[in-house]
Amino acid sequence: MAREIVKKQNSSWLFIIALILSIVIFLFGMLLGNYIALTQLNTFKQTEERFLIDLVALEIRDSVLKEDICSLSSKDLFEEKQNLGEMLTELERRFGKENEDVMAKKEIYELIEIKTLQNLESIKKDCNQDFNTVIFFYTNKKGDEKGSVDGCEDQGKILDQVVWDHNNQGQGKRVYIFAFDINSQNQATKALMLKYNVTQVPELIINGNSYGYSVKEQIQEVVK
Amino acid sequence: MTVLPQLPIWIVYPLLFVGFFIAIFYLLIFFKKSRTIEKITSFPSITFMIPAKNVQTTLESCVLKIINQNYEGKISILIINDASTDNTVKIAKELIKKYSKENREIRIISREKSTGYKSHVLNFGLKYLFSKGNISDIIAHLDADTFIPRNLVIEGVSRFQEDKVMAVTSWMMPQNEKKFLARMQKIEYLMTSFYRYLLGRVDAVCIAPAFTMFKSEFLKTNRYDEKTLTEDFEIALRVKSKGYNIAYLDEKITTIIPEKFNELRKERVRWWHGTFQNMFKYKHLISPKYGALGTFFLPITVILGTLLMLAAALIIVYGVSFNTANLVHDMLLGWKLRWDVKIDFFTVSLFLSDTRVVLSIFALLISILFFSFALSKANEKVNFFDYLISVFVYGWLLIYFCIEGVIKYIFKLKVTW
Repeated sequence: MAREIVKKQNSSWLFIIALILSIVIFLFGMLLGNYIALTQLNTFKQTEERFLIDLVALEIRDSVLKEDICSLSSKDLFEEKQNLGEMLTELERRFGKENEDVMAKKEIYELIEIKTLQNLESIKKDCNQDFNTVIFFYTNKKGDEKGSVDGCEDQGKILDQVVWDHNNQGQGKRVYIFAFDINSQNQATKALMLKYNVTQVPELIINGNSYGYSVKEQIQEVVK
Repeated sequence: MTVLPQLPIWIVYPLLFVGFFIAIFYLLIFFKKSRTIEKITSFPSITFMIPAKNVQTTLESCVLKIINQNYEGKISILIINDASTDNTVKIAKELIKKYSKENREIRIISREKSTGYKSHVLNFGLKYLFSKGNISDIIAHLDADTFIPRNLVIEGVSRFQEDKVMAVTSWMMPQNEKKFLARMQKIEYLMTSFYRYLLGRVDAVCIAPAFTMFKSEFLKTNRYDEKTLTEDFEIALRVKSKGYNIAYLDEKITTIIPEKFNELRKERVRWWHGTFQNMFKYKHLISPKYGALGTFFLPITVILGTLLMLAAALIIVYGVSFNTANLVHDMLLGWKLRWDVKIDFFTVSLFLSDTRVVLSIFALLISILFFSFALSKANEKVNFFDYLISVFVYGWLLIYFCIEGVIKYIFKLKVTW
C-alpha cells in the first residue's frame, strides 16, 4: 500500500464542522419525517371528505330515486367506515391523541360513524338482515372523572377480539362497532350520549341495550 | 392499558445525535488530504520480541515472515519462551540453526515459570536486551500467532521520520475466518482497524496491539505495566501522555482469533476491564492539549460512546419488556395474537414519518457507507448478510461482554486470560 502521512491540522475545525453537519442531518431528518406525516394527514383528509360526500350522495340518491336501501351491503358499508377508523388510529399514534388536526378529523369521522350507524339500523330494520351493533363510549383524557383511560383501552382490546371472532372467524352474527369519545364537542355525538344517557365510560350500547365495562365472555353472551 | 410506563419519545435522540457526530467526524477525517512521505535513506536496526508460550503451531510461520522482510537493515528476533511445555523451544532452536545469520539474527531466552501476563514476558525481554548493550534503534513486540506482510518493516520505519512519532502499529485482520464467530470478528476487526487508521490521520491512535514498533529510547525508560490486563492500551496511552504519537500503517497484519464463545468472552471481558482500568489511570488525557485524542476519541467515542451503547441496549431491552408485558396483559383479557398486520402505503408512510425511524435509517445508511469504505481500503470481501448479522446480532454479544467487563471492574472480580 502507498505510504501516506496525515497533513497535520487543527482538529478543532473538524469538531465544529462535524457538530454542524450532525445538527443539519438531525434537522433534515425531522423535517422529512414531518413532511411525510403531513402528506399522510392530507391523504386522510381527502379520504374522509370522499367518504362523507359518498354518504351524503347516498342519502340524496335514496330520496331522489326511492332506491331500496336493502341493495346496500351492510358489510361493505361498515368496512369502508372501518378503514377510515384504522387510518385515524394510525394518525393518533403518529401525532398523538391531543393533536388539534387529528381531533378535528376525528369529529368529522364521528359524523360519518353516526350516519353509517343510522344506515345500518335502517338496513337491519327494513331488510331482514341480522347483525349486532355496538356503540362504544370511551375517554382518552387522563384523570377523567367520567372514567379511566386504562379501562377504556382494555374494553377496546376486548371488543377488537370479539369483532375478529365474529367477523373474521365466523363465530356468530357479525358485530359492527362504533366508538365515540365522551369528551367530543360534536353535537351529533352529544345527542347520541343523551339518547343513551351515557355519563360514565367505558359504556357499551349493544343492540340498543346499555352495559358498563364487560369482559369478553359477557359480550359474547349478548352478541351470539 | 400499558403495564409498564412508556419511555419518552425523545430519549433516543441524544443517542442518535452522538452517533451521527462520531460518524461524521470519522468521515471528515477520511476525506482529509494527505501527502506522501519521503523514502528512507537509512535503515535503523530493529529487534522483534516474540512472547512464546506453547506456540509450536504458529512460531515458525511468524518468524519466517520477519526473516523475509523487504528491508536492508539488520533485523533481530528475540523469542522469549514463557515456560512452554510443548515443542516451542525445539522449534525455536531449529529456526536459529536454519535461518539465523548476520542480518537476520534469531535468539531465544527462557523464563522458568509463567505468570500468565504478557507484560511480564515483554519486560523480561527488555531487561535482557538492555543488559546486553548494543541495543537496536527500534524494538517491536509481535505475538507469535500474528503474521506480518513483507513491506511492514520498511513502511513502519519510514513513519518514524514523522514529527513526534515514538511508536508504529498497523492494520490487523484475522487469519482464521471460516467459523461463524470468526466471520463476525473479521467484520469487527475490519471496522476497528479502519477507525484506527482514520484516528492515525489525526494523531489519535492509542493502542499498541499484537504488533507495535517503538523507538528503543522510549522503552529504555518505559516498561510495560505489569499490573494491567491490557498492557497494549496502557503503554499506548503512556506514549500519548508523554506528548508523542503512534503512527498507524495500512499494511495488513493477520492474527489468530478465538473461534469458541468462551475464549472470545474471556478475551473481550479482559479488554473491557482493562479499558476502564486505564481510562481512569489516564483520565488527564481528556484535554484539548492532546488534540483529537483528548477532545474526540477518549471522551466522546470511548466514554460517551460506551455509555450510550449501554443506554441503547437498555432502551431496546425495556422496549421488548414493555411490549411483552402489554401483550401478556391483553392476552389475559382474551385478546389473541394475530398475524394480520396491515401493510398499506398509508400505514408504512406514517411509520416511516417518525423522526426516530428516519434518523435510524440514516444511521444504518451511514453505517453501510463506512462498511463499504473499510472494505475498499482493506481490499477485503465480506458477505453483506454477515454484515447485517454482525450489526443486529453479534453487536448484542459485544454489549454483553462490555457489561460483564464493567461489572467485574466495579466489583473488583477476577478476570482471567
